[in-house]
Amino acid sequence: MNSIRLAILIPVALFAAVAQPTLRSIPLGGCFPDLLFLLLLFAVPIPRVTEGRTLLFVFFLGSLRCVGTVVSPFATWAGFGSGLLARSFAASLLRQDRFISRFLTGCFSVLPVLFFDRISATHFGLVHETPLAIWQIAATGLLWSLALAPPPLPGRARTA
Amino acid sequence: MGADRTRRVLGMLGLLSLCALQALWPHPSVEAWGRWLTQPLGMGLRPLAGWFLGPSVHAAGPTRALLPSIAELERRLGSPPSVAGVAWLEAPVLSRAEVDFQISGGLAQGFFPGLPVVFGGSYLGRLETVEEDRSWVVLASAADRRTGLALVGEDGGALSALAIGRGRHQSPVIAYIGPRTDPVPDAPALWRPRQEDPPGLARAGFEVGWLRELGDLARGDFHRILDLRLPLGAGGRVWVAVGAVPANLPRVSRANRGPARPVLRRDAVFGDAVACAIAASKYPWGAVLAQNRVAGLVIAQEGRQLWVLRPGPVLRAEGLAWDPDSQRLLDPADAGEHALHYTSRWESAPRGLPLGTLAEAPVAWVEPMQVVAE
Repeated sequence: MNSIRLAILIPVALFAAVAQPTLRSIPLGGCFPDLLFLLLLFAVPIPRVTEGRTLLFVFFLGSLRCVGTVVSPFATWAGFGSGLLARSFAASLLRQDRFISRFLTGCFSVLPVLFFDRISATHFGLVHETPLAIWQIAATGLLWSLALAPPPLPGRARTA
Repeated sequence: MGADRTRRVLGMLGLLSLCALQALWPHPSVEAWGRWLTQPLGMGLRPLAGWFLGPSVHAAGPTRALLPSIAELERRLGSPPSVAGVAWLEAPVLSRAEVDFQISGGLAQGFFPGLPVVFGGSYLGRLETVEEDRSWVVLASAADRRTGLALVGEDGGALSALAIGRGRHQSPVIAYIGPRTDPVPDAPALWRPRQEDPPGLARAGFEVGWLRELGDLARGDFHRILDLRLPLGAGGRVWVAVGAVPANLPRVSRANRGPARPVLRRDAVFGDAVACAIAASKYPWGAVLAQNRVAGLVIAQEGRQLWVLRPGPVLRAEGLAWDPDSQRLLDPADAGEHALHYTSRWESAPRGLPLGTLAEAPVAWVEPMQVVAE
């Protein structure tokens, strides 16, 4: 992540943190994926998951997520970090040039976040609704698959 | 390069594993440290998120009628009948477990082990351990606890019996019934005091529970148990039979209160079930009140900012209800529509905070707000 990307990402992340509770309050807002996790997915390229800056970004975005939720910061950090690792794992198994593979990669990456949200819900005696979680998984998968559409194949080289 | 990458991967995995461990099995002090780290962001951005969410956060809310205090209701129900030679001393319950509970008052109030403890017309148990300013009451259900009973015989006469406690999972078993006749089943079992107790206590007729017959005599598994009826009000205060009223009464903890204001009326993950408020002072607050009702019970605290669990069916089910028609404290599951609901003890929140009736609309997340702690 270069400084120009960070200069864009940080204000967007701050806005996402502030807007997240509002997003959830609109009709069907509960089905949207977590904005900050989406930002993390799109900001960190798959091969750069293990860079030092990535970890800082995980902690920064995780802390921002805690602005709008009671979920423990540790659960958020663990969820975000595991989400990135899950995405790398899925991307290493599935070819990213097909829609269904990218969809599954996106779905797989959000699972750890939802798992740790559910753990937090259990600790606080709250209910983490499964139908909403399923919608969030599907929405993350869909956004990941649409946003990462592969470039068109280069034309066949002309032969003399 | 390869070794560097491996080190980075291992470092990342290690850090994430520590976070995951803390998330799965949270340690309070580590959790507090984590929240302390994220607190500055929350202090700065959370009010902005609240403002973004909607103007109703700061709307003025109508005040609802005050409910009678739970202490007042418990005193009305729990004051025992006057007994010659006995002074009843009210002792607030500090904590309650299945077979014993801790009460305020001890040696300084003239308490000593063995003193009987009652609530209204019900016998609860005896003082077991007595310290300077607190004591432990052991109930009749405690393992191997022997309680004298007076039962009604089938011939109408009184029968002496003994109930032996079997711990929290099983009702006390009734043994050593006088050989003259069988007791009447499904009848109240009265408490039979010891010889060293004031004689007036036996005449007062304190009830311990109900006699139940279980099993089949022909199969050889017939036995009688004592179906204990612990009054719900006994979770708040009990009365100890002392010889004379002492100069200094048991300490009654006063609830600390302070002003607060709403910050965020819904959570980004859990929705309307959770909200956030900010207290004027930093203190381990237990609950937030608005419109004379519980607006939420504190589940996490970051400095002065409090995350609260909004009242819902779960909170009501764990509390207690006052039925104004029958003038009784009931389990919320048995309460009707007009019953007034109160909270049970919750972390540092005092017992008996008003939740209102089932027919009432949910409490709005509005000013003026108050935070309360025991």
